[in-house]
Amino acid sequence: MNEKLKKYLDGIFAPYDDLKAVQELKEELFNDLQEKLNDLKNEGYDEDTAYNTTINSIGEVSEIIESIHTKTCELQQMVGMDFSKSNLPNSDFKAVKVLDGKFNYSNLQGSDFSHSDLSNSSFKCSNLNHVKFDGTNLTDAKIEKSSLKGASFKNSELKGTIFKYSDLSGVCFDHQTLHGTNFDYSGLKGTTFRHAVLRNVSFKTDVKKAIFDGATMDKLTYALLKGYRAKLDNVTVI
Amino acid sequence: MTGLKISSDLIRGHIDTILLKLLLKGDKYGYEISKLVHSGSNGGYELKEATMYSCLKRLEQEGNITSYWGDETQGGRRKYYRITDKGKTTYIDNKNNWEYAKRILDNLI
Repeated sequence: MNEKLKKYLDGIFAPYDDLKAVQELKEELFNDLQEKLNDLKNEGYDEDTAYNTTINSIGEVSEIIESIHTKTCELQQMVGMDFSKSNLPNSDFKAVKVLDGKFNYSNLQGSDFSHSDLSNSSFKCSNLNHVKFDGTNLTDAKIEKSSLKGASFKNSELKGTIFKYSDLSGVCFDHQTLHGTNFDYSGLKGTTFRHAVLRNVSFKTDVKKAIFDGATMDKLTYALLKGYRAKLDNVTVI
Repeated sequence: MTGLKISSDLIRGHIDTILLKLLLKGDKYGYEISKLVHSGSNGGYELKEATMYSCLKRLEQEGNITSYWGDETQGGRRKYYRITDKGKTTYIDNKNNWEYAKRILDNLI
């Protein structure tokens, strides 16, 4: 019976499950309902009647969802939001979900996108200096013609991320796994890829001053880098 | 009470005040509150969980109450709600407003 109740709640909360506040609320509600169910059974109601009475006492779930930090909800569910041409320096975008978001022509200097999901989002011609992308999911994101000086990418997901025509000088990609990432025509002066794992990474640009010490890469990436005269003394080819 | 059912719309606007009053007498968790509302109305009014939680969350955002997780050893953990000083003031204001409205309505209805 507990399982049945749990499944029911999982079902009604499924569309909102990403929000931490909602998860906590679900836990509260589940414990309440379980207690109510037990009380009703102790009062002598049969399983089905007790279960139905319990479920009926929930009411409209949308009512609670609306009340949960409207702001948090808005921030956390910005799917396809357009922040283009915005001036948003030092903004807090921590742990938000902005799938397919657009941040084109924006000033986001110093903003924090840590642990956010920015899959498929696009950042064209934007100021991203000193932006934090720590633990951020940037799968298939397009960061083109943007300035990324001092940006950080610790533990970020960069599968298929496109960094074309961007200034990444001095940025650190040490220990990262880069798969299908594209750095074509980008500034990589002093950019470091120490002990990074590179697969199918495209570097059609000046890589002479990028650092690849201890990196592991596939033959294709190696050949490309070699063609562009990167220093590859300390590299493992797989 | 036979045949009569309290219109939930009539009560809806006062749920905040009802919750605050219950919390004046000590910290409580969700189900405890809904049971007290049920018994306090002699079974005449059933507070839906969704309505209760939306009020609790709003009261919390407004700073009228705070919440904390209890340290239950058995079963699921419970979140307790506690009234703040601001909440006590809100309760008194709401109660005064209600007394005033009640006098007017008694004359009008």
